[in-house]
Amino acid sequence: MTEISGLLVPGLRRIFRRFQKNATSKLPEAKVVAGNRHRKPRIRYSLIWKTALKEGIVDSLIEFHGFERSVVISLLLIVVDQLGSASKKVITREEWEKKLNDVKIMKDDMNKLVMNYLVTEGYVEAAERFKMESGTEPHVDLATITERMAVKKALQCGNIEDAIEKVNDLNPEILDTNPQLFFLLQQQKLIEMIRNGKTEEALEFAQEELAPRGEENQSFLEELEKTVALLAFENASDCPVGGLLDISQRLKTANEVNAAILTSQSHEKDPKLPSLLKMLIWAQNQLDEKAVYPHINNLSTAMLEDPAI
Amino acid sequence: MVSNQETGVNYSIELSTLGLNRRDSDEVEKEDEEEVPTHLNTINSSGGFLVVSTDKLSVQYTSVNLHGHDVGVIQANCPAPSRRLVYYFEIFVKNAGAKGQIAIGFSSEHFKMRRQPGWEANSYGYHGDDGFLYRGQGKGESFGPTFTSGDTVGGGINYASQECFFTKNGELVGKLYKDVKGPLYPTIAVHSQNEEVNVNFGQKPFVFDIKAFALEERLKQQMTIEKISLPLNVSHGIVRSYLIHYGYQDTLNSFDMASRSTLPPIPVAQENGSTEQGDGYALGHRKILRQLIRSGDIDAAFDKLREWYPQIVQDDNSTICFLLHCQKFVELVQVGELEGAVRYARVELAKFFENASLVAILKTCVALLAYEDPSKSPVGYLLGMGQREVVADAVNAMVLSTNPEAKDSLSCTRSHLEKLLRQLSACCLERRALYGGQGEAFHLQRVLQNVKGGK
Repeated sequence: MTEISGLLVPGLRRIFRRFQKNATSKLPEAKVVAGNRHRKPRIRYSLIWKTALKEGIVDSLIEFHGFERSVVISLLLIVVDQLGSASKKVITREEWEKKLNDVKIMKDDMNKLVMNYLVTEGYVEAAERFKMESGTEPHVDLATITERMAVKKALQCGNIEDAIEKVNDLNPEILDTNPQLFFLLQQQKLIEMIRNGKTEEALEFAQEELAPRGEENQSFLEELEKTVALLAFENASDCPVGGLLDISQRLKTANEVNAAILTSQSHEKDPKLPSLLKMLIWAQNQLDEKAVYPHINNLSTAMLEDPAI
Repeated sequence: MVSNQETGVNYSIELSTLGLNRRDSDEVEKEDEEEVPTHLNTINSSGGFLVVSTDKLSVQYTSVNLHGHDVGVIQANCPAPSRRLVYYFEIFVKNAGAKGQIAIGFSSEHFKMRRQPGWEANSYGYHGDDGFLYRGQGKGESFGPTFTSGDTVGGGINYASQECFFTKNGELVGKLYKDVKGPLYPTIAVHSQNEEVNVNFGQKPFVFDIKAFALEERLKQQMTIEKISLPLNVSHGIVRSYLIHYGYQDTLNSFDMASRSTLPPIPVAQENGSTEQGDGYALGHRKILRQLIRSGDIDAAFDKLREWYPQIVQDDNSTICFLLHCQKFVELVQVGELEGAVRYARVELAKFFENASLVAILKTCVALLAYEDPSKSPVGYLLGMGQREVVADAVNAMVLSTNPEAKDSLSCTRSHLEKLLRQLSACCLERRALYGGQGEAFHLQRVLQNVKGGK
């Protein structure tokens, strides 16, 4: 299918352009449909495909490529329709591939992108190997990734005290300058105590460590009340605030801490690659408004697909 | 297969865009340089109705206005630059004169210089006496507050959204869709006795915070982009296939190992088995070849190629052989064996001087001999690791193209990541071209440079 339309498009575009030219210069060959005064003259598309038939575009396809006549003609109609659809510019696969080839992509840039992904996502060993194999500099001290990942792991396992200690070892300013984050960690610590059934310990901790902070900040107080409410239920995980016991709360805390550490190392908290992929989807959508051209719809195969007909 | 030969040819074209010509970031910058309005155009103004100061930055209406065709209009010396996100300029109303019929706006090159901007086609104007917006016809629409003596009013174009906008005393008044596609000149008009206006094309700080405005526009766009959702683990899969593609096998192994132990477990890219096998084609060989070339051992790389993929190196005149010979020459220069290098060049490289597409690269390589300290010369980059990487990538691509399962040779020599980035760049460039080259240019490097800086 795509092959035929690829073969059809260049010839049809030539005819289309000729008609367009004629339409504006009002030559008799093109019977222009006079529309609204303010609109551009429209071209009757049936004229185009009739001309295409007359000029042997279809026949040559049937003869040289062995396609079925009916298939070619029905495709012809679709392609003509598409060519005429609004004033979108139609870019054939051939033309588009030429544009793709003209783009300058530096290997070095791709390496940096991959290194950035490995570093930000915490693949320390892989980042080290990649440095060896590709000569790409990670631009951060890889040892700090190891420490950052250790913090993340501790949080994911619920060892909050351990995590706090590790963060302070890395850089005490991270928690000193970020009361929100410190509260989040303390709250997580309280949650873990409740999860482990250490009710008395939890109450003491809440009163001594968390309550004073709640007085400083309304949102802290609300969070604290929500957390302490867990104690009121026999089956805490089934209660309205049971979500706090969920593993996702741990991950949320871990991600916040991870981001704060990255920021403290003046490193972006998200890798660049996903943003670029999103940008690709966006850029294709944007161009869709103006042109018809081959797309990449499946990011994981990066296959160039002809525009949907 | 004949296709190998073709790949060689294709690839040589490819190489010229890849690493052999080093990036020139100055070039990128220059591309965007445009003339920026600096003063008022005194030649094209409506003579007789207004007087322009000697610094060409203020105007005054000196006669008594009688009708709609004696407006004192003046444009900037050049159109608003368009290869950027926003353009902006301001006026200060020094004296609102008899009627305060002052206007700020934009107009095309052939604007009738005795009419208010906005009254005629291809122009926009924000008028001080009624606060109305005029866009291309005599009738205005209510738009914002009026402005008078002591007010600072600004006009701008946002090329990303294709909108014009106006400000008063540092506040945004409103915006409108810009339907004029061609160049637009900053335009001001005075139309009653003693009206006097100073214009600021950026020679002084603006009252309106245009930088914050631009930043906000950028953030808005970024937010839209960030909201797009991606399939699960797609980045992981792309990184993985990149490592496979270039034969970074050690990295791949530790990447896979770490992925397996990640908490919570990320399912390792669920591609179907067959593509994975296809992508992993000759991974071990490619890894070894890369290592040899990166260590500068070109002879050994040649030997391995002859043993494993004789079809690649059987034609000693092919592009890939040329690249390897060049690299061998470079390596000889590197270790200071200049005589050996000369001898090698005579035997292996001389024949390539007849090849038009390769001769430029060859000349650059040979130029190394001209310098006492080649590493500090303009062609010194050839001695770096970067050049070895280029050659290693070329060999890697050639090996990949021998894969009998590869559908077409060009496509298999590019990694998924590269294809995606090419598509991204092409889409952005094409869109900008369809908007008459207006707006910011897309430069992948710039996007990537933000990676490191933090912030």
